[in-house]
Amino acid sequence: MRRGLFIAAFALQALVLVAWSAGLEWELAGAARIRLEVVQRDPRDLLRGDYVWLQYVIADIPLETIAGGRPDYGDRVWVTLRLQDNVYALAAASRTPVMPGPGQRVIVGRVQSLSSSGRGTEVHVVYGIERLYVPEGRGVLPRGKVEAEIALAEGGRSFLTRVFVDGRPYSSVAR
Amino acid sequence: MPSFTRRLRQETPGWIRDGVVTAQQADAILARYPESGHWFQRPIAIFSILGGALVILAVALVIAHNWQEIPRWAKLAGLLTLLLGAYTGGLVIRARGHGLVGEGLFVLGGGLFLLGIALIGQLYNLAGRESDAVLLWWALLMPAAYALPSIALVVLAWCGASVWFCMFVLDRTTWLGRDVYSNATLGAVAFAAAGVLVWVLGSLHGDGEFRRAGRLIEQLGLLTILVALVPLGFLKQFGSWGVSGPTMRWPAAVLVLLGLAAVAVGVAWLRLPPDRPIIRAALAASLLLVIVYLLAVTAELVQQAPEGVFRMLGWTNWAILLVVALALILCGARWDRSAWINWGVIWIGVDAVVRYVELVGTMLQASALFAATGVFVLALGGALELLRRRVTARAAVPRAGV
Repeated sequence: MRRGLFIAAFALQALVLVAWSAGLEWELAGAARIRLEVVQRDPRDLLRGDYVWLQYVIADIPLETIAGGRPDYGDRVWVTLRLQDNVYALAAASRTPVMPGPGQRVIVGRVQSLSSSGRGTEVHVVYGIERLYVPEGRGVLPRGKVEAEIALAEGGRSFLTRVFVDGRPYSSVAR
Repeated sequence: MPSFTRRLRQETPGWIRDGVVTAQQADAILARYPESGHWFQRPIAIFSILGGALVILAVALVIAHNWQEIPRWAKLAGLLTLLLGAYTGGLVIRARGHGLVGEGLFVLGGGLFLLGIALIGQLYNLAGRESDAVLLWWALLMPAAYALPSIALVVLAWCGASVWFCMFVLDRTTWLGRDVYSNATLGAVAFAAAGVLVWVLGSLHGDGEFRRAGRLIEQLGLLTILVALVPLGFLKQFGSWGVSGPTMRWPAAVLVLLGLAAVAVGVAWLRLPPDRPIIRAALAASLLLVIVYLLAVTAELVQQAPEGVFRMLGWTNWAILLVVALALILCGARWDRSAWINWGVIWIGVDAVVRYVELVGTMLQASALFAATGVFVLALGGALELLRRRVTARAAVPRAGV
């Protein structure tokens, strides 16, 4: 009985890992690909190795752009993007789910911080695509214009698939 | 509680004296059960822990290297194979009587499961909350640990839960962290409430096969309550600290946590060892007192009470630490829980030192303060050790009719 329970518990662990991975693959397969403009940093994660920290232009959103009032830390934000010079840029943001207009996409993020500057109050939003894991010793991107290819699932969930430096792919990890 | 072999060595002189067994028979009995020392004093345990840690580190470094030539599914399959190997190996080796090595392999399996979660994060460039990954880890590790049952894995899962709670509180994007960032004092309130919850969960492990794990978890809870309550005693000096805005809303998450802790104390009261109702009620009431105090602190922080109220809460903190410590010593002595007695004594000692520094700190120069405090701590330590030995010795004597 006990052994059966343990086997069930282990099977649950394995199943979660496999199902999680399969779910991510499935979402990736059905996701649209868009490009976002980024700025970079380069730290290291103890368990997962070297990664490039990508900070997106769409990460800092002026408070007045967000429909539905001032969000709190951890709140979800639906950000509408529209194509502008080959990359998707911020068009609008809302605290409630929104339907994108023609040619637009919606990406879902989470409020990480609010800051005030000369430009007024800005909301810093993270999308879960800020880390690009790279082989050991390759944690620094070459200089140049950096863009990220994002797979955007229907509900607004995003996956980082590739990074381009001056239009050339830097790494291809999650295609 | 002393181990079976230690208890045997304590009891046999009395048996010989009372004529239950002869001296030769007592020697024969003792020879049958040689003292093997604590598990952590045995070389195999140390080598198992070191070996397991090195294997986990090696796999972590392989994952961190991030070879892109290996397909994603191959990496995941490799890790799952290692996971299966560690758990199966642990089961087989334990069944052959090598319990400690088996436990080591289970811990290795638990560590590999964490690496599996990290691997998926790496494979798909996931950058979500790290506390969510730790939550997934301990929440799935716990059922395996209790199903086996493996004490080492239970302890590992509880360590994971503790780390998760710290990460959860310190992350301002979580529902609890959001409350704590509105007023840092609430962090101490949240930790104290969690400590009560952990203590209760530890006590619910009972005296069966999870007794040792339960005792450890109880101690984790008592340590957490103490560490959280001591800084709250200084509210009257500093008022509330770390307030992020002029107004404060009611911290719903902290209140939910306090509610859970109150319910848990009620459940624990039903599961306490059989004794006179007043004794059983004393311990539960003292823990409920802690929760009421934490609720009062929360209310006064939200209402931004005047200085006098915080001064009163500081004195209440002092009294509550003493009351809970005395309840722990009393119940520990009656129910043969030497760890409770020890913790009660530690609580009294810490409370006395903190109150002493608080009282004398503003009157003396730094050098004189340290010298006087040193002498005070030495004297207090000696007195408390005498108290602890006396209570523990009295608790060890079996009571008539029990």
